[in-house]
Amino acid sequence: METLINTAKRSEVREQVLEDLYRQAFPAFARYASGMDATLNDAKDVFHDALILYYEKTLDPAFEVRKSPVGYVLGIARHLLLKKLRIDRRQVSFDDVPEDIEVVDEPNPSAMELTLLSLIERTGKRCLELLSKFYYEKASLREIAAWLGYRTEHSASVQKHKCIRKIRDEIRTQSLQYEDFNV
Amino acid sequence: MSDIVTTEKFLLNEMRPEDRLLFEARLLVEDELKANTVIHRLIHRIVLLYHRKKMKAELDQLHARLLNDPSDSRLRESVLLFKS
Repeated sequence: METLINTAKRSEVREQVLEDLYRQAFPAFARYASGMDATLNDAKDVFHDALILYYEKTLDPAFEVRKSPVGYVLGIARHLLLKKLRIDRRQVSFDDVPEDIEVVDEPNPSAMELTLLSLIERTGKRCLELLSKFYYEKASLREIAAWLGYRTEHSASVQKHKCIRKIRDEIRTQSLQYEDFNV
Repeated sequence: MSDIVTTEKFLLNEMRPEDRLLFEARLLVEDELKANTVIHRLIHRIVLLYHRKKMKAELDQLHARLLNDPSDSRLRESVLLFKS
């Protein structure tokens, strides 16, 4: 029971942090984005991406915030918006990108990755949920055991590895059907 | 199962340096292990995309909720800045 409460508490804290950041940073970003003639939908999408990237950064124990979280999110959001406008309009330069924000430009999800995600969401959603809790909500094996209704961390660990095997087998089967999976 | 456990440690950087070196050497000569490691890395990427998709949905809900928050008009005012 205690671990379930811990999990719920952590999730509550995460939601509160994101909400506070949203309230503080979005109005400033909206002023910037509207000044760049971006649409509200584009601004919202980019801002959400920036919040997600910030959240993922905070999971890394080596991550040091060199500026305030609001400043960090705004820096990432501006960077992503300029990138999007440059691609959409092929005219905005990168000169305006803040230099003190370290943003790793990740490749967009490939068609193959999106196909696999959609497939595994249908066939192994519970496994995706388990792995997502482990990797991105930093749930401990004890918390995962409580979530699954298992008594021991060992059972949760076994289940985690079974999930990886299940998804691995699924991907392997798909790779035999589609040449472009190439794994 | 043991290769899955080992590969997971390798991909999460949880191996001791000497074990990591050994694993990297195995990757050079064991085709099956190499193929499984490629797929395992792909699984991490799929889980990342799944988590991002979930967070995006949560943030969409948050945006809608804050737009209708009577105690804070800043978000409502900020969306009016955009051309309709």
